[in-house]
Amino acid sequence: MPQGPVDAVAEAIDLVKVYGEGENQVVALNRVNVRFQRGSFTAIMGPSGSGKSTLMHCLAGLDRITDGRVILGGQELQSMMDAQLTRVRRDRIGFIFQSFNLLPTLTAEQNIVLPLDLAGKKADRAYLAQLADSLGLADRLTHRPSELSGGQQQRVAIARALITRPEVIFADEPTGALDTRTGTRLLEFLQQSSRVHGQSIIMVTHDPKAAAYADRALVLVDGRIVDDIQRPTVDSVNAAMARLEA
Amino acid sequence: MLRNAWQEVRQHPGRVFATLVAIAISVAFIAASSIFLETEKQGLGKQLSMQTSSADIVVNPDFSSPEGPEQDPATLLKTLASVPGVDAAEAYYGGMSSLAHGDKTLQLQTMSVPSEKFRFSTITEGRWAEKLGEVTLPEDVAKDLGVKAGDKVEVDAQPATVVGISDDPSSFVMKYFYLPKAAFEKDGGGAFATYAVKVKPGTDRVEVATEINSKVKGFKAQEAEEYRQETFKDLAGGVDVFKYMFGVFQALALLVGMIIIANTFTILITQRRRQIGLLRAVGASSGQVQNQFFAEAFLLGLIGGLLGLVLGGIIAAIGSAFTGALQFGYRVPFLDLGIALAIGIVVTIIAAVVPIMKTTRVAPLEALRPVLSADAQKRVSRTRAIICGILLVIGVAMAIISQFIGKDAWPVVWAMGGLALITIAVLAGAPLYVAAMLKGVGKLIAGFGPTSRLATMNSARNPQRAASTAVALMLAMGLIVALQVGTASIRHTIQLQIDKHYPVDLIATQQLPFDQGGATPDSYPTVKLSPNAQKTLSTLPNMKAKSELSGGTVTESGTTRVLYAGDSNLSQAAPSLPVPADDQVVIGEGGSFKDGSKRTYQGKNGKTVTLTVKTAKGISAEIGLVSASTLKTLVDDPQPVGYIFKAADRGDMGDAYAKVQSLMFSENFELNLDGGAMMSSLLNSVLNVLLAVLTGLLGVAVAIALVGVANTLGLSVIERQRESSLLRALGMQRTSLRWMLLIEALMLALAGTLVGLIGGTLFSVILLRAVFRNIDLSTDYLRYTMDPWQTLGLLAIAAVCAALASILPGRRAALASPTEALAED
Repeated sequence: MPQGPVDAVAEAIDLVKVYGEGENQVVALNRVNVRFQRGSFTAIMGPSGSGKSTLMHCLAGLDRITDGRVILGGQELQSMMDAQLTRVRRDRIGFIFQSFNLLPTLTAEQNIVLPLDLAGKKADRAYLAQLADSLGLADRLTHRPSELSGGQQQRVAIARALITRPEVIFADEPTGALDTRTGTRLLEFLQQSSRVHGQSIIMVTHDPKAAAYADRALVLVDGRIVDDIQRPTVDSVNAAMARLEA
Repeated sequence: MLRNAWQEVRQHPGRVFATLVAIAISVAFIAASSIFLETEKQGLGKQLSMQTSSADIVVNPDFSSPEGPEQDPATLLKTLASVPGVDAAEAYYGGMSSLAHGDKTLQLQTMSVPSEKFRFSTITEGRWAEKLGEVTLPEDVAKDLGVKAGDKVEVDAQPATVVGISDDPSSFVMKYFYLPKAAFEKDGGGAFATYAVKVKPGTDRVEVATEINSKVKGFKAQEAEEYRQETFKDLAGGVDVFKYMFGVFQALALLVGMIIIANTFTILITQRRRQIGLLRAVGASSGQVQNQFFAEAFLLGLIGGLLGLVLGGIIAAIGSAFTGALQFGYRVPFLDLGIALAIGIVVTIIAAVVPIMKTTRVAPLEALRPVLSADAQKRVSRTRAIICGILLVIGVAMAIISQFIGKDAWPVVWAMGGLALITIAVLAGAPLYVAAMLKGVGKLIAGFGPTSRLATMNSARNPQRAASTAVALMLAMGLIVALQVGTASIRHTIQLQIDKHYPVDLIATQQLPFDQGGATPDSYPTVKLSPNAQKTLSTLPNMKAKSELSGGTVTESGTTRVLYAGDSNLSQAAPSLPVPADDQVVIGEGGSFKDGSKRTYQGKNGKTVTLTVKTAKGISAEIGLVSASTLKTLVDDPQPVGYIFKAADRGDMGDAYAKVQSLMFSENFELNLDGGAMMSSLLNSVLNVLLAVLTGLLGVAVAIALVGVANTLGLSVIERQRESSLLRALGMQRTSLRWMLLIEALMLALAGTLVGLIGGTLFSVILLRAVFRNIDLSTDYLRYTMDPWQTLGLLAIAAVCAALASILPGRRAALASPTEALAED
């Protein structure tokens, strides 16, 4: 994909996130500077407590930052009021969480079109059918989450993340609760979305095998980016993690 | 174990808040009524004993004795004074009069000023009334009227001066003012009198009392303390009746409270499945787990109960301050309060039993499984459906039977039994249809966007929970509606009958005087309205038209009667009465005079006139209406003897009725009052008071039921925290979440209220019809009414309360952070 120096879909500038006050203060993100290219698939990695989930939350407008700037799709998020931020999440971002992605009272199809529904828009039926097909959900659309397997639930979440054709998809340990085979298929799908369809994806993971599907792997430790691996492989990621132990 | 329970409650007070409120309200109800009634009793008792405090012996008319009581006070006093051991004897007179100053009029009891020895209160300003035309007012009365010593007032329309203010405490039930003895003595002993006796120092009171009893016939002399205790016991008995009446409503409030508590515990336990699973995995037996929860139930009952006692105490204090009983002291019946607290605790534990028993079903593995939201769409038990179905069929059959059987088969019993079964079937079967109802309503509002669709699905997702929340409302609302429809229908039915049979609004006529024996002392006595009566009647409020009646005495077949003639306004004042022609006499139906028969009347002046009888509805058979010229022929000097009125508003007779009532008292009942408006007024005031009181009492149950709605919502939101966070992350606005909760609350409240509305109305109609059949009245007379404003009002209140109930849960849901609840645990 052609990459221009200014074609960043998401960016963090001097990003600082602090939890708590005074003595109990925790600096989760310590002046992070990073830029994400449009159409890229980036993995954010790091040990527990490194701030990787926090970085994702801040980039996605799920949490307020303490200092710095967050730019998403050309918009500065830190100065937005809650209502506007909510709309950004609704219309321009897609989410996939590790578990508990779906509303139990809605069917798979209703879950998929939920962001559109909240915006008062009607779904593009053709696109919906296409997504359902490519994710293997065509015959499960009328089922409720309790009637779907873990893998199917995650696939419904992906469909939902894609239905609004968002600027960025944020995925937080999307394969964490899945068995290996299902997890692999899911990662393959994400990779395809990015490489073939140009969908920007930012994924938080602790699994080097998952990171290997991405174009780039960032390693965070104690709220700072300590490593930036282009075209990560399982080996290069493992090596980077081993360097941390030293 | 209790310590753990305390920890649990302390850390999550919000979860049990609604339960505490429900228990507190129920217990407060019981406590408040106990304290209030006891304080009232004490107050009345003290007021009474104060009045007899300066007497050693009290002598009262004994209506059960074969001899009539001696009527002449002077004679009686002399007899009493002559009894050995008696130092002094005194007569206390009492009556009723109107007291007016400016445009304020009070209807009060009156009391004679006791002689110095027998006074039980003191003068704070001025002096005691001595002569006719003087009055002494207790402080509160003077304040009510806005007068001080020296001001001029009117007693029964006669001018008088306030010569003094006394310190008598007055209460709601006992308000009086002082008139000098002369005011009572002038009417020849018609006023009611009690007698007090002081004994010589050193004499035995009981002995003297026995002496008096042997000497004086028709009276009962009692030692003062004994009298006070007896009177107090009678009083207390009367007040205690209220206690038992309240008991029914207290039980109802408790019942509704129990539904709430059971609901709460079900939800709490579901939420803590992981905790329970953990306990079980670690080795706790299910018995130990259950005991843990029982300890919490006990604690909740205790705390809620104590709160209720405090709340009840405050309410009772306010109530007795209002009635004036508080000034005599605040009485706290500790035993009753202890029982109330115990009831609160026991009820809480009983209500929690079933949910707690279900904890045995939680497997230890629950500790490890992630908690899916607690909305298990359980297939509603088939057994429940069958049982409720059978009950419903039997109940309906019994209700139908009650509509057709004769009075000997007791239709009321059939009706009540059938209705009870139907109620049980409807309430117990709620989980079967409430979800469907909610979804049905949901379809109506689905067009409004995802918020309402989500709300519908949320409210219907747990049919059991939605049902039990709605049931509490159904019960409470249903009863109130039944009450209102029943009362409105009865009122309308009776009103129609009154209008039909008593078309004349109000007629006041002076009667023939009679002495104690009851026979007319001489022929052609003068009959005339007293100036007081004239003034009061001619200025009665709420009268659209009036006709003054003049009349005089005549004889007819040897009996003395009064003939009346109206003035030019007769046809306006009594449009239903035929205006008598010169050869007619209009007499009320139902007497010995037949329509069309001829009667001959003879006047004092010796003239005779033969008149044709025309009977009419609305006046009594004692009244004979003639034309003015006929009257002039027979009676040389006709006097004003009465009035006929047409009311401007038949329903608004309260003021007029009060004035007329006190007039009757002061006229020693020689004034006769009749007419449909009086009856309507009486009917309305009785029914209104009844309705207000009962609605208020039932209102407590409704309040608790609505607390239940808040409860269910609040706890559900806690469960759905992750869903709320997910919705926020996906882009739902905060206000939308609040709206969602609001709609859920409204739907629940609506479901409960609708069923209650329909059920209550049917209940009322069927029961009324059965009652009519039971007392052998044709149900054709029954008119069913529902006051649309009252019903809409109820719906509005339910909606508003539901909306309020959703505020806090809505806020909690809206504030859910998109990140927090989604964090992996």
